Amino acid sequence: MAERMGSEGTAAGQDDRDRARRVRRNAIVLGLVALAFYVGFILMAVTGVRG
Amino acid sequence: MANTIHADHAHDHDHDHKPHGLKRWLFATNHKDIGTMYLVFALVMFFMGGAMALVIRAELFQPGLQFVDPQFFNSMTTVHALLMIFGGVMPAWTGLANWMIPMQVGAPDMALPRLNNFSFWILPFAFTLLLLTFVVPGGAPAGGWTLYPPLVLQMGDGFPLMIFAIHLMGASSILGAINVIVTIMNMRAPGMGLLNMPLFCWTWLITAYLLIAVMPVLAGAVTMLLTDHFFGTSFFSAAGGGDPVMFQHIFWFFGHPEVYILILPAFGIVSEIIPAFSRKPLFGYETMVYASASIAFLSFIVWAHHMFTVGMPLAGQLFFMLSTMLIAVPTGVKVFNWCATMWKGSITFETPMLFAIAFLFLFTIGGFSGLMLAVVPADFQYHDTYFVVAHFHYVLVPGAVFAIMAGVYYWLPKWTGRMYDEKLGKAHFWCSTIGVNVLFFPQHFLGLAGMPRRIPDYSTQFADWNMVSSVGAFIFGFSQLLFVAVVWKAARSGAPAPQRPWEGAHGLEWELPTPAPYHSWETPPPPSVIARGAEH
Amino acid sequence: MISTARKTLPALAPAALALASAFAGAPARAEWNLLNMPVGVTELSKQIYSLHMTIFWWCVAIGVAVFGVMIYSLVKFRKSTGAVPDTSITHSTRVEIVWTVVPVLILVVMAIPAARTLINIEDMRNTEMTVKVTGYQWRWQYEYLDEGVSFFSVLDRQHDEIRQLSSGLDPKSVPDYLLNVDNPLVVPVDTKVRLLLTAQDVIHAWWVPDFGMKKDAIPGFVNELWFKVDADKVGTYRGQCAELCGRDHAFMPVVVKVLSKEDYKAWLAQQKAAAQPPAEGAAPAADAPAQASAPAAPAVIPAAAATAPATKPVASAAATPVAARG
Repeated sequence: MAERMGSEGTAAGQDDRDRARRVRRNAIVLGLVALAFYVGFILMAVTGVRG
Repeated sequence: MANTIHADHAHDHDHDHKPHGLKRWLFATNHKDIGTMYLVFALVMFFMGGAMALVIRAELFQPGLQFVDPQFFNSMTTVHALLMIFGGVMPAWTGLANWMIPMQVGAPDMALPRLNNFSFWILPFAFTLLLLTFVVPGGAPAGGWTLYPPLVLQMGDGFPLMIFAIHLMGASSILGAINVIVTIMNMRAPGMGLLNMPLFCWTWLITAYLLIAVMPVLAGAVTMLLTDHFFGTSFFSAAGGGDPVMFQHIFWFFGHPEVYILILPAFGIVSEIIPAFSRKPLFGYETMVYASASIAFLSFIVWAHHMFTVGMPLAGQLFFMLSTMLIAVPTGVKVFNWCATMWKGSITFETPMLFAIAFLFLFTIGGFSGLMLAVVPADFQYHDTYFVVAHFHYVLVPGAVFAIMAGVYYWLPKWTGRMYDEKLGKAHFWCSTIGVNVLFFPQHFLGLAGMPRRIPDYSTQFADWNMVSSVGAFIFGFSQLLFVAVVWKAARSGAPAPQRPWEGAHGLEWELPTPAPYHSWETPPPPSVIARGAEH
Repeated sequence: MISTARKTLPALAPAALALASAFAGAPARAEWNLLNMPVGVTELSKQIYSLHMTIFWWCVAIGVAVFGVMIYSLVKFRKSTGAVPDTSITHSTRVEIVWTVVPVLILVVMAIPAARTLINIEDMRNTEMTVKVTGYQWRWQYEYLDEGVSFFSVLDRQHDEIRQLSSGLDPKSVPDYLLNVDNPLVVPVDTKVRLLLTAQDVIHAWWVPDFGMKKDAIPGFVNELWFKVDADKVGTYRGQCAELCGRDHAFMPVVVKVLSKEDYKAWLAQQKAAAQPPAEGAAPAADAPAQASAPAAPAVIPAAAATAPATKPVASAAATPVAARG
């Protein structure tokens, strides 16, 4: 999709590249948050914290 | 932008270049194709889970064991729940999100189309693994969908298959949720503010955050079960210094937000359908957004109300009772706002509206029984009885499932370009509504009279209401064949649908031609169109 | 599994016939009246019942108001009767505040009696006797602490035969189908009894609806609950395991026989006498629960034989084969 829209002109292309970067960054951050919850809860159980 | 009534022009536009045959589906990156696959997958799962429900109700038709072994019965209740929750309702919501969110926020597609493909194609593998457990030694999971240890650890060779299947389902949900959040945050058309979005986008955004917060918790819990089973840890085994109740805490820390994951998108759909057929804007749009957010927040601090009987300290029981009661407040606000939306409206009763109205009544009944269950001393009686079964089926079947069907009827003309048969749709509605009440209402009586849940055989005093409930189950189950017939007939030979088939419908999806073009908004909608669409 | 699935379809036909006859010719039976929670026979169960009814009537009242408004709107504002939408109604902060605050007040009103009952439920002081209840797959063990009396409680043998898959036996041929055991828990009336609940294998839950209480029996942990049966409520009360505990979860009933204080004393003396000779063998077995079931079995059978004359004819008839096979 990024390629398709990137062909429309330099200014719009720049916007699209920015947006693609933002999309990627957001997705990675959210993925890391999910991973942190996963590891966090196992660690919580390992250390014996009672819910 | 082709604002034509007849879609053929947009459809045949050379921008479409959609692949054909198997490749179109296997390598699908188009949000509509993926949405369709999600919805078809969910439908298949609904029928498989439904068939299991009918095995359960056939066995419970009369006392004594007639058809199945108790162990197989337990597998039926367990796998029925897993299929309906993770295979039916959740993929149906993701399918609707895929179809509708890009159209509603003015985007050409989802932000991460390849991830989208991946998150869908995980699912068939996950459920194949889960269903494979039926043919391995030891059989399918039979310890309840809540997977409580130590019982779940008694499972046979299917145990690792089940755990891996749940991991895959969780991964699929998380990826789908990431896609929804990223799309809503980055792909809105210029001028489409967050508070201009339709409520379906809002409730899905909140749902997606819930998914990212709690699916990893479930994954963590089942990973610990796996290591307890195979690698000698004892997270949940008292003999090794662990605590089986800790699993329940972790599970329900996932499980209660999960309940709202299943119902929040339903709130969104109903919040669009009721205004459309009342020809009046939604009452208190911003309040609805805040109410959804508060429900989501509260869902994290009520988990232990699922386990009042495990023996908690008094202070804990009081806290969870009060926080649970508190959830009734934002939920009540939503119901009141829907009432106020209909107030002084101009109401018509097409099939989507009928399902939305049934949702309103029957979900509220489920809410009342939920309030009763929050009262801890009374819960000591209700807990693990058919009263609970009645409660959660009232919020999930005429709640979530009716909202899914309402959404399908509402948007089907936009998807297919064709109208469904209104008479058949209404027939489906009445059969479903009558069936669902005959099925689940007597279960309140059974639970109060003392029938525990998850039992294949029961004392003769419970025979009469069980028989009624089973009759309702068969009515409800078989009337869903009508649903398939309606959708099939509409897609095949329905009358051509206009661009805006519903007089009072607002939202950007109705500004697109019908059927919606393959790439939804290739050029963002102009501000005037956004303003017209955002008249909530 | 496949064979059972195949059996399902043809077997539905007689089921449908049974349904038709049930609706057409069956006389009105008392079972249709089973609509509500039992009031029960203990102080707690009555408090719980009244809480249940209070919140039920609140729900009914709110339901009448909300459904009333909905039905009124659906009737009054139909487009077919010429209703014109008033699109100026979009929000009202005042109304929103009202319908936020009013439910909060109702909830507070309901939370107060609930909290009071809960505090009462958790009040374990001044208990007069204690029985340790252990859940097994799929039977209960009752140990009278300080009395040296201990026995297992298993689903009545006749019921167990009826409940087998396709047994062809009629569940209606026995009273209290699936709710009868060989050795019920026996307690005196008008006495604050404390139960200590635990389990040997998986989680079970001990529940007698007439006592108002249900609590999980969790391996490795001990839960407690108490009940005090009203002075005039001598009788037999029945319940079931309420937490899914595997294949035969449905077949481990809880039966409590409530005797007058004198009868209970006599019963206890009889138990002690019967348990005396094998007690030395059984006592260490109780400390090693892994082997508890095998060595404890001999201690159970005399107990069963001793209670047999006191129990119902059905139970005593079933007790004979137990002893014979043991």
